[in-house]
Amino acid sequence: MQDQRLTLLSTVALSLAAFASAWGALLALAWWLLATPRRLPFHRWRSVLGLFILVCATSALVALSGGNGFSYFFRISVVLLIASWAYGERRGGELLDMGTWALGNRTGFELGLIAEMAVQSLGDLDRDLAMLRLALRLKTGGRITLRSLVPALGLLVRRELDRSRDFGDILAVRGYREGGSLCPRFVRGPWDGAKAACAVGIALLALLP
Amino acid sequence: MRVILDDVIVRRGSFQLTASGTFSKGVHLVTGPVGSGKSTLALALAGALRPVTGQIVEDGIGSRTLALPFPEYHVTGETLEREVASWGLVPAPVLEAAGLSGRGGEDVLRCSQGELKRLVLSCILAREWDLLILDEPCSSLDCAWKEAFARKLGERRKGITILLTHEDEVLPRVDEIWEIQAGRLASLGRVPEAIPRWSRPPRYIRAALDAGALPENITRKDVRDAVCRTRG
Repeated sequence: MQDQRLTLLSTVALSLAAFASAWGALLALAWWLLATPRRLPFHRWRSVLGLFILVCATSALVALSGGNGFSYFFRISVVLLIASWAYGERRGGELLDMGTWALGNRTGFELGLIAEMAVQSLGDLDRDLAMLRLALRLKTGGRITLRSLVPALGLLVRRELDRSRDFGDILAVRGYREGGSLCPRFVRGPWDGAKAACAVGIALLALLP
Repeated sequence: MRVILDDVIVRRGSFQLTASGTFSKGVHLVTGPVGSGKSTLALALAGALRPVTGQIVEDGIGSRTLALPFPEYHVTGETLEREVASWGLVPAPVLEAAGLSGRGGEDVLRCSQGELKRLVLSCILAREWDLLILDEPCSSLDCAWKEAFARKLGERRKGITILLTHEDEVLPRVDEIWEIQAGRLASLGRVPEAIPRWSRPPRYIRAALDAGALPENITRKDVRDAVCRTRG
């Protein structure tokens, strides 16, 4: 999908559908199979494995407390699949574009800018954690203790705070006070509208009684 | 003791680096502009990035480490003393070498990036490594500390040292020069023969070469001596 607004709409609709019922999850899964390149984030297998274990454990708890554990597992797995697709589709600046498009050059611009900064920080944190793991492995030969992690993570937080302060300084130096002027442009792929309509249809089918 | 890059291709995002050659005992300088792939090569040599094709073969390498460009990643001790101890070292001499004597009980979070860099480099250089990889070790250091660091590095006689940098002010004595250009690593050969083949040497070396001098090595002193010899 090329139009970020329709990607967001589809993500929200399909997530709601998948969470609402097993049928909704099945239809959302079918949508994912037909409307996306079907790429799984196996290059981040540690994160995938961690999430899988978490979902399995929660599903087991649901089953033990008398609920339908299998249904819960299936629904949450599809929600994560849709989230993974949406994350892979993201492009730099899209949140600023969407914020401005939806809420205008003042509130929308500011909300979009904050969202962009948050996403950028997540990316930075991800890279920092990878480097931290490598440095710990080289230093300790793989033995990571809580005592060694505390200062390492403390420095990571400080680094992130420094970055935020620097970014704030840059905005202030450039004379930023509030809002901004932006004319967002969205490119629409030939099937984007149809895919989004299907996603909304699936949500309506799953949510309507 | 050697590290062989056997038709290696490493990918990091959309970037691709191709490398072939052998790093043998001594100090190797790997140069290239910012974004040329030096850090990618450093990560691959440290075993943190797996080549998509080819292989990196280590022969006789027992211990190895990589100094990352940002020293914060290495820190695991709450105080400067504990940080040095976490490397298995006695704090006092290392803190002295880092110019941080008498500050052992200080919180590492209070150090500037330059101080942390000095501390981490001093810890790394206080130990013997078969393979020592240094990615931009001079960033955050002032000229005096760059020179002190270059001196220490030039004194290393054991093991393989691979220095990856675009530094062009202060460089140590090296044995071999490598260059990354257009995503490809190539050896320029041993010093001094490699110096005239260097496509982007630091300005002080370029000036000496333009004046017809061939330095024995790449330190400022070597270049000054060569220019003096040329002028008679």
